[in-house]
Amino acid sequence: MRLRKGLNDRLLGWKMAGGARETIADMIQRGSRNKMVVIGLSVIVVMVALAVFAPVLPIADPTPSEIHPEDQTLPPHWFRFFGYNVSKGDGHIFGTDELGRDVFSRVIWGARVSLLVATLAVFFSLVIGVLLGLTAGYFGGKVDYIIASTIDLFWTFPAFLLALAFAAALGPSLNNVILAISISYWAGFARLMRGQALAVRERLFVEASRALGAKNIRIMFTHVLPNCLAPLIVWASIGVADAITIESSLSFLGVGTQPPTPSWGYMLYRGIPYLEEAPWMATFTGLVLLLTILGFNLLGDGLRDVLDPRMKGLRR
Amino acid sequence: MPGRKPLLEIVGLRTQFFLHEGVVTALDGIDFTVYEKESVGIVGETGCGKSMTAFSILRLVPGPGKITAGNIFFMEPQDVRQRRMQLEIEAQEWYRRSSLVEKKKLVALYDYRDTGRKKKAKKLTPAQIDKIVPPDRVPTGVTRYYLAQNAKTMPASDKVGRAAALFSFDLLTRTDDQMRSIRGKSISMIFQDPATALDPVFTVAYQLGEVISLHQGIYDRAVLDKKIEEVLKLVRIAAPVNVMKQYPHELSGGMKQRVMIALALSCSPSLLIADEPTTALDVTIQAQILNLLRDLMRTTGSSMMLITHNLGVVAEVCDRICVMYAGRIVEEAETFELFANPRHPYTAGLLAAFPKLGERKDELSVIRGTVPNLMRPFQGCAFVERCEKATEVCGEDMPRRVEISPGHFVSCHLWTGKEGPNVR
Amino acid sequence: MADLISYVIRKILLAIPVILLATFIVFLMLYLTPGDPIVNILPPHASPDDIQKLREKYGFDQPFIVQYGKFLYRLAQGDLGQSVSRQTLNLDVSDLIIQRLPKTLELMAIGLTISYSLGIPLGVYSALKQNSWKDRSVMVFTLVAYAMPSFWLGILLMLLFAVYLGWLPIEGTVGGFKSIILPAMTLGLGNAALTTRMMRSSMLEVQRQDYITQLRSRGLPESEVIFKHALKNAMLPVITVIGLDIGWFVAGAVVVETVFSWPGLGLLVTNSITNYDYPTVQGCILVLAMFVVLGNLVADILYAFVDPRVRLG
Repeated sequence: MRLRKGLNDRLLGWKMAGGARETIADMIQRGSRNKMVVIGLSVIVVMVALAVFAPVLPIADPTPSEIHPEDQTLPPHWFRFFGYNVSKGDGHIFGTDELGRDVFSRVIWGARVSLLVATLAVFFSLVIGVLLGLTAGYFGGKVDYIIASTIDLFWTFPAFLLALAFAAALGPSLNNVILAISISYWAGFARLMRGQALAVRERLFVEASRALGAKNIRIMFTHVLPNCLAPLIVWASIGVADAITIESSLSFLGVGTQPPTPSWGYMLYRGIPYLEEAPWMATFTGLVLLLTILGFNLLGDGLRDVLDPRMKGLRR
Repeated sequence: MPGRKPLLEIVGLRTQFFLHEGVVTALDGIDFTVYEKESVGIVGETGCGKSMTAFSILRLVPGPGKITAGNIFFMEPQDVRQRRMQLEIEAQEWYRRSSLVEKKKLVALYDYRDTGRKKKAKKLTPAQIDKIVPPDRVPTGVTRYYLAQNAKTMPASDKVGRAAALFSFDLLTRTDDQMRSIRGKSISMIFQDPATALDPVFTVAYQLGEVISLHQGIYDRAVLDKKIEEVLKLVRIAAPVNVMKQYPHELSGGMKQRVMIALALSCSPSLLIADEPTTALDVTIQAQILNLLRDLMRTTGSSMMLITHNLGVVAEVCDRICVMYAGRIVEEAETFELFANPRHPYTAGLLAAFPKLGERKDELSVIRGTVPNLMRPFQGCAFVERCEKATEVCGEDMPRRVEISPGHFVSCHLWTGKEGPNVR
Repeated sequence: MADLISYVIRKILLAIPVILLATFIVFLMLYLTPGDPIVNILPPHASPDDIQKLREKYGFDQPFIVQYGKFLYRLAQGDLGQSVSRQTLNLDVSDLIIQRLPKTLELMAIGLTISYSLGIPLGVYSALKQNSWKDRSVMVFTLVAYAMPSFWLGILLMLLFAVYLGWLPIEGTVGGFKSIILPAMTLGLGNAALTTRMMRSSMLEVQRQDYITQLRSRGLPESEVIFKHALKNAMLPVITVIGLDIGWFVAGAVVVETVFSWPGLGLLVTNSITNYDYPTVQGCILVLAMFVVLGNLVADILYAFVDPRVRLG
């Protein structure tokens, strides 16, 4: 949601790499030298690994069927340094919540949900956006006018507000959240794609392949799309960060993933009344959430620097 | 050119860019002089340092670039100039006589702005020292040092020598504030592309008024408007009052360039630097702007430094031409002389590549190869790889500037006499 | 001047389809809602007859297009329907909204002020100190500040200023001006980070332009080159996104108001969603959408004032 403005700044000024194409190996090498890419990617890899292997990791059950009153709001063991009484509660490195569930394992299972929702939502909006944007930008004329107006309408509306409206209407469930984010978020991809398609269309090699008798569809997918891959990758990375923000905000407001499924937004919401008594409930969830969003943003920003030819140059 | 007063004298100017990848030497020891009431053309390919010369003169070298050596004397009175040159020769002789240890110390002073050299100076061999301080050049730092040493022994009447006011006409010794009062007032510049070189969000009148009130202290609106109108009339804008109210984007390319010229001439500068003033314009407008510039130079009596890659333009406007290649000036002569007797192979190649009207060629001639990478330090002549007459010495030794006929200078071993008698 | 008026009128006319689309989407999504709002207000043991009566009363039994037409017709008269929530049953939604509106406006105004008065100077500062440690620390701050979801930022600020330091009230409006500080900061900070980044890159871009060198070559003092010419040009892209900013503030207000129990429109939306009070949700989202449309309109007009290159004719 908020990143849409940042995207203006970061991507709309994107210029196509002209002249000699870099090899992918060059890019990887430059990427591996970019601190933002390296940090962002490491965070993401760790988070994804934890999320994927959550079922086989030796962690507590995030949604135990029985509630043990004696386990409620236990501080993490190392909180003794802050003067908390930790007579009990070893093994819970992030403490336990108000129902006695292990916060650490809930955070990891929450990552599973958040990453799944975010990735799928971004994937779907990418598909919608790319198809609509390509169609509009490539064909131009009336088709372009209609699609472009729709894109602009969706673009001016904050994605979060749309997603909230859709999620509220569709009712809270995992699938509906994915659906809601996808419908709200595609405009950015479409806008980008349309702009790039318009730009690429003018370039000679498309003209050349048309002169050779290639079909429109073929030109779109073999020439236009690959040329737009770099900005799309960047935007998708930032998009995942956005989608995680939207998803957690929705579940914070109670229209996202429903309990008992662990979800970061809802866990933070439950943490508010316990801020004084058991600050670990909200703090660690929030930190991991922040770290994950930061990771995707860093990756996006860093990739932009690596892939955007304009950034090369005079720096000391 | 004896008898004429030099307005701007550039000596050994070096401008370098310090990048991650290495040091780019954009200007490598430029020497030339602009006399009063004269138009000098600077000709060369893109990237040879033409524009960087202009920015160096104004001390507006961008970003990681720095002027690392040389002097830019501007409006130096004759007596100061004579005394300075005299002292420089004394200093040079004194330097030659000094021991190796002293030389090492002095090399560190070769240029007072070149900080990196101080640490390395102690490890230098005599040969290396000779390379750094070429025999025909008078290092500023050495002269200054010499002056400081000998100031007391000079007669009281020699104010120039005693006060070490010697370099006070060097633009590179000016403070930023002093420099600002020179820019736009005494030295003014016209930029290549008027479409990007005017501030898009202020009106023509505002931009002109800003400069005029800054340098002439006119703040009264009515007086200022009248002055602006005058300046716009000067550059032959037909309806100055209308143009004043307009924003740059509302004007055509030619009009924008006229406004730019008006900006540059609003405070009657002694030197006008025109950096490719017609390149971004339509061909029909180009002639108008060139004529305008030439006429204005005649009426105002200012000097002009015209930077261009177009030989036709310089032939039409300039009295003298400097040909630049890879950050060096390779040939300098009066226009007619240069076109008639090009002595440097590069100049000859340029002129051959310039098609003449009425002459039909099956193939346009070209200079083979491309401009060398300026990040590489050159041992010898920068043109060696593209030169058809290159000999062994060209790759090893940098050719010195030789005056082959009065006012005609060439930096080429064909004329330094180093490559043996058989070629000439 | 006449140009400007016709430009403004044209922009307003262009906003109409956007507003229509907003009403359509809002209507459509609640029409498609799987849950039946009627069932919610009635006691669980209500007879199908009662349900039918209420359906007719609220017009839920008519065909889609008729319902939408009626919805638009009532909307044109400022009638947003009646609330169906238990606490506020049969109250006019428009009254509920008008009652809450000032609080949201207040919050957004202070939030916007914080965001620009922090973001613009910080961005300029950062650009002027490009690649120094000062610039880098500003950049790290902005990275973290915009990655931070607003509810999490709100919780942190609450924890620090309200719980540990006890300087400011935790939530609600009882503390007078003190109570608006935390919500407005939460709302403003993320956008301030973005404004900073934008201002920085815009300023760097402008400084590379020929006209800045040209102005320097005229001997203008550095302060004038930077703070008059460069700043005015660098502000342009920031102004174009004011519209998007307002959209972001609208969305952010929903979350922030919920965190701080700030009695504005946002809180009304979340409460209504949990109470299945669809007419109220509809009304609120429409009003919030109007904010977005208005924000974009304001940005367009502002831009025309600042950038002479905008074609008015």
